[in-house]
Amino acid sequence: MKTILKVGVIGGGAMGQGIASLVAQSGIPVVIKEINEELAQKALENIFSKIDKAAERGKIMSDKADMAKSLISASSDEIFLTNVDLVIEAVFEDMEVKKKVFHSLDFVVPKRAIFATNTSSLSITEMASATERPKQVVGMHFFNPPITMPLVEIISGKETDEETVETVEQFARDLSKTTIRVKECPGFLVNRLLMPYLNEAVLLLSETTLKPEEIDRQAVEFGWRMGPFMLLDYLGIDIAAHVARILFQGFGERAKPAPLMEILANEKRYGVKTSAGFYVYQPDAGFEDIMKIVEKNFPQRRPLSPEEGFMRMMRGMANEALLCLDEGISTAEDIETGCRLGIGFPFTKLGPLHWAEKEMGRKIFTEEEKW
Amino acid sequence: MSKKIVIAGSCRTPIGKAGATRGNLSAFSSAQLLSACFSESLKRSGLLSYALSQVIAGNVAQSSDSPNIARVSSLKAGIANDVPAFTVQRNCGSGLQAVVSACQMIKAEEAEVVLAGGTESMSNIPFILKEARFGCGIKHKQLTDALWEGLTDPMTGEMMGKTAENVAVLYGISREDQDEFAFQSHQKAFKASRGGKFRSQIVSFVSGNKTILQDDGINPALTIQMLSLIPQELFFVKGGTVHAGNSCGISDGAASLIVLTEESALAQKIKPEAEIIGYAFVGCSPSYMGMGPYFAINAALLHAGLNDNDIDYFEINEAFAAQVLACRRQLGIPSEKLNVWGGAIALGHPVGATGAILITKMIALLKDTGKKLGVVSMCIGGGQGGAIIIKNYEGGE
Repeated sequence: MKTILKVGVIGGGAMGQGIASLVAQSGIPVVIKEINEELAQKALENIFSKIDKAAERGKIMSDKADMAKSLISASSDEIFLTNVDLVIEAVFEDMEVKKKVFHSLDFVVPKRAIFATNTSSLSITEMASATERPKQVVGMHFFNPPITMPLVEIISGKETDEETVETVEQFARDLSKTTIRVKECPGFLVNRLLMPYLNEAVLLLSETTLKPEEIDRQAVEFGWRMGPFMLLDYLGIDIAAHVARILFQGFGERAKPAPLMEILANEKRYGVKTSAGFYVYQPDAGFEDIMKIVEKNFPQRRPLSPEEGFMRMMRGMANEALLCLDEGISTAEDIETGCRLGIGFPFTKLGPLHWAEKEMGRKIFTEEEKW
Repeated sequence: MSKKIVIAGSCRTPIGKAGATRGNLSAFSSAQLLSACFSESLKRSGLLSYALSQVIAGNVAQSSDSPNIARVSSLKAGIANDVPAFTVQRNCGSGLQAVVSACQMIKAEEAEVVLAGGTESMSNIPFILKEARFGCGIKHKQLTDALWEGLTDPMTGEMMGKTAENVAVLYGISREDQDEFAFQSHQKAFKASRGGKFRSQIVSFVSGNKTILQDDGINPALTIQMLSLIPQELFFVKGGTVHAGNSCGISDGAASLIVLTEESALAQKIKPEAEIIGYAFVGCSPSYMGMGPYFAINAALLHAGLNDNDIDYFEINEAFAAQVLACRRQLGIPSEKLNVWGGAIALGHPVGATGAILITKMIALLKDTGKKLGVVSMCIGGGQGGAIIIKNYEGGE
């Protein structure tokens, strides 16, 4: 296993800032690389003000805040990356951009160093092909916000070697995170399992007379912290639609995105950030009620009980979980952990595999019923 | 020693900084910390709890809600009712005393397998209201900070930091040397921690969403310049050289290990980690308590029939840089043999646990480097020193 004494974070956006701050608060020196000095300083200021606020609110003590602040630096100059042991890339989610970043870093960063990417869906193997160290390229999927979310998905590409995976796994543990190992596939584990559940929820709206509140209520009664529509509004419907498209490309017909999601994305109803999504968050701003949009686009709907509707969503997730198990994407234990910590699957229900075994029996997952 | 006495299943908690929001372990009581180590020691050694003949724990600030903390922690750890337990207190040497007491019981043939350890939650040391027992009447009464009072010598009234200042003056240890030593302590601990040297020793704790595996106190960002700028109020003596930055932190932590004869280890298929080959406690002037290790190490070497050239590594608890530097100079220890993974200035000093923590650390160091002999020593408030010599069971060069 390699020793990580210093970390480089590429990109000072929201995720880059969060990851850098987390690393520094765990007592490890970190340098942020931005495209120009101005952005670098802005990222640094943002992080500092967040740390100061956390110290003010008593979340961390002032001495720890001071230590974290003096461990972070930011620059546009690649010279500061010449002594890092790990690079975490958190730039714009675009394959070409990421490949370019890795390609140029390959010359600057020491040969021993590991390249990690914080992508949530792009291929690790393809990114690795842009470097001369494909064995040392790995996915480290942090969740937003990195400081508070307890899970990190560790994704290995086709070439990633065991030492690299072990090193970043231990590194994530040093950041007080729980890790799960995932083999590369579209959406990795967490998004791959969450999407069929959310997608089915949106399909229910266009196919049945169920309302978002009814489905959300059912989910909350089951034990979810919030229902699927509330969750979609918080995640951003644009982002969900983007992930859904990636899964559609990867898995074909069975992962076809719900058309309503695209309709909302086109209308720029992204959720909380635009004040309207499935719910309206600004009552007098003239947003249409979601049911009117549904009525307009999908006049033909049939009645269904909320229980049955919710069951369809849960089956989608459980089915995908069983597929992941079959394909060897993750171990059963990691699938359950990923669902609890990554998407908030109710703790008392343990995870989709347990749920499937206990509540439904495996018989519902025969070949004919796989969608 | 006629019978070989060995150690197995050593482990420790991470060392947390004391304070409600500072430390990762401040929410755990001393008994919780220790019981986690107890279970882990049994698990690591493969020993079943009914095989134990005694449980001994060192603890300095013994809390009223868990009198005889060895017994409380033992039961919390699921150890059988019929295994007796007692608690020892020799200030900073309490954790070492527990191990030495275990040795002595075994030598006296009154025990075969002893679980020994130490624990301290300095975060949870209370303020106390003395003289309130029979009513306060219509009068103001003063709250006493039991932590602060515990760090003051009851005979001379000097703070522990003042005694370190006495040592610095007597042996001419400069502020610059102390600051440099403190800086090196953090750097050494940071490198060891990142290099995974502590991982095998540590029992993880789950607190909320976080799994705590890391020692709180290590500050890789600390520089000598920062130490030189420490404000006057953080000095123990005005115009002196000893300050908060070149002294140990106030901490929470625990450690435990199993002490038994080599025979019974082999009979029960337990893998010994180290052999105990000598120990000593000595007394000295309370005003120069920091020199305790100097006397104790010499006494322990005499006890084991060794001389200081035989020793591969020395671990002198870093209560204060001044006192470690003075002992190092008096003993003639080369700096590359002393506290190679950093010490309490970086990691912290949970008083009652330190003895057991340092033994655990020394065992890991000997295993990691394949060396043979290590000495663990500490100064003890009130004017004492303690030392123990252990030998790598795997042999070593």
